[in-house]
This record gives sequence, C-alpha cells and structure tokens, in this order.
Amino acid sequence: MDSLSRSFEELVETHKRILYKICRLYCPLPEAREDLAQEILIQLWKAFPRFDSRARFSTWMYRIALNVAISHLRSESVRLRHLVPGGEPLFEFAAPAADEPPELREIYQWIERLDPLPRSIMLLHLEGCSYQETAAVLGLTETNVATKLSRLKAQMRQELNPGEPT
Amino acid sequence: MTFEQMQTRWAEFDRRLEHTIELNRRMLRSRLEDRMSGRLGRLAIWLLLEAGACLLALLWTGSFAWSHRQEPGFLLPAIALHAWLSAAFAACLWQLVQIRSIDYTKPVASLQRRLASMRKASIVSVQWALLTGQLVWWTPFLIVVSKGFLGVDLYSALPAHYFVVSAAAGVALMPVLWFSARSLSRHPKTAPALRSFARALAGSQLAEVERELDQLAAWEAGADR
Repeated sequence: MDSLSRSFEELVETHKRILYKICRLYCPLPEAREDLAQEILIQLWKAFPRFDSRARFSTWMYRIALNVAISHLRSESVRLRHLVPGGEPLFEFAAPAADEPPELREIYQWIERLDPLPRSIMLLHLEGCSYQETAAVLGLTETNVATKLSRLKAQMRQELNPGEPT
Repeated sequence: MTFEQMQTRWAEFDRRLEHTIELNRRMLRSRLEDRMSGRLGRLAIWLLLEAGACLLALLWTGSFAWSHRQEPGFLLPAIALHAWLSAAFAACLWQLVQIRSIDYTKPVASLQRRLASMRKASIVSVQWALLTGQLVWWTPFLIVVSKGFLGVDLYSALPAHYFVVSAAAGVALMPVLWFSARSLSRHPKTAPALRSFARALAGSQLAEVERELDQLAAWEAGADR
C-alpha cells in the first residue's frame, strides 16, 4: 500500500463519523446506504491527490460527501432501482441499530424530512461548523446561512414542540 | 426539545458513535486497490460505447452518401441519417466532456446547479433524438439499409405511395409514443430502467429538473421559504 493510500485511509478513519452521518441522513433505505458510502469514498479518493493539506480535511470531506449524497438522492436510477443488500459492509457496528436512543431517532427523523439542501445546513450546524465554514461548503453567503438557520430553528420549534408559543 | 438541546444531544451521540462504529478497513483497502469506478464512471463507459457505435454508423452513412452522390433518391435519405447521427454523436461527446469536468470539491450550490443543468440537457437531447428519430428511422433508414446491405432498390421494389404512408406513420407515431411513455411512466410495475426512459420521454423528468433548478436559484439567492 503506497503512502497516498495510507494517509487517505487514516483520514477516512479519523472522519468516519462524517461519512456515516451523511449516509444515514441522505439515504432513507438502510440497504442503499452501502451504495452511497462507496460512491462517496470513490469521489473522495479520486479528488484526494488534489487535496491541499493546509486546508481542513473535514471541510473538504463535507463538500464532496454532501455533493455526492444530494446527487445520489436525486438520481433517477438510484430512486427507481430495486436495491438488494449484499457484499461486505463498510461499517461494522458494536451495537445493533435497534439500540439507538429514541431521541437520536427523533432528531434524525426530523432532519430527514427536510429538503436535501436545508438538511445540509442543519447537519453542518449540528456538527459545530461556523457560519463561515458552512457558507464555504455550500457556496452561500454567511448572511444567507444565518437567515436559513434561523428559519430552520423556528420550523423545528414549531414541529417538535407544537404546543409551545413561538 | 429546543435547538440547543438538540445540539447537545447530537454532540453526545457523536462521541458515542466513535466507539460504536468501526470502519471496515479491509473493505476500504480492497476498494482502493480495485481502482474504484463510480456511477458517473459507468455512465461514461456507456456513453463511450454509444459514441463508438454512432461513429461507425456515421462512417458507413458517409461512405454510402459519397458512393451515391449522383443519385438524389439515395443521397438525400443518407444525408438525413448522417445529420441525425452527427447530432447524436455530438450529444454523446458533449455529455462525456461534461462528466469529465464534474468536480465534487466545488461548493454544493454551484455543483448541484451544474448537475441539474446537465440532467436537463441530457433529457432534452433524449426527447429530441426520439422525436426526430421518427422522421429518419422509418423511410430514409429503410431505403439506405436495403440498398447498402441487401442491394435492394426500394424505389423499384415498392409502390411510390408506400413512402408517403411510411413517412406519415413515422409522424403519427410521435403522439402515440408520448402517450405510451406517459402511461408507462405512471405504471408501478414498469421496470425501473424503462420507467426512467418513459419519464424522460413523457416530459415528467424535465418538469422535475426545471423545478429543481428554480429551487436552487431561490436557495442561492436566499429567496426560498
């Protein structure tokens, strides 16, 4: 294994949670997540020789992974294909998926109901990205990011706490 | 749950995720060694095959037109076929160039707009290819192929009104094709690949992609709600 592959493997290992969460949020069908994870990895690997090591790997990874995930979600062939689980999985779980806390499931379900683009803003915000970083990943202005986030917060308050005054 | 609570929970689960998921390094390594090719890579292979087939057909119709340059009855249908194939070949090459220039490291908004525009162009080219194809793949195709491959001159083998009827059938088939595509695209039992093709032909894919482009423009401008 050459040094490029080794450093790629290390970086993917360090940021595996990003890959997992994006697949989880953009792929409603668990059996299709493997397909998306592999597609993201392919694009990350193809772009990796051009990665500027002075930049943050996570920002670069969010861009590629979100771009692939959104286009995957919009892809006609993927939507219409009858997916059959098979092959060796990319992720292995220490605990079964059923052990997932209900609160986490509620959060995921709410975000999954958003359109693909607002979903990306929500994810980046929950991941702790600054407005500047979110704007850079998505190609929006910081003001636009801030406006969209405040709308999303209001929407969340309304939908998750329907009885509370806004 | 408040937004801040959601953020705290998310961070807690994130820390836990570090220990509960394991990246299958062996699988990752084997994929890297395989020199992985993605969905677009596979599409590029199909387009290359299509371009190759178009090129062969172009060479053949070109040589047929040249060898019958003194006979307008064969030259004109050959030119019609050649023009249709040239357009199809150009569309394939254009799509190949577009696919090669896709850069997933670009910001999400601009790349998604670019991908949607590419999808729109590809759908429009399929619609035009099929509709104009009805004009060339009936009479001109029959005349040229019968002469070129079988040595049969259809002008002397068939009555003149046959060509008029055949051309009219080609034109009449356009709305039939559109209605069939519309019903096939709505039928739940249609095979996925056929349904996708039918949706492109019926125009529902085009409407969808145009809506997507409008949404993207509004989203980038901050005019979305």
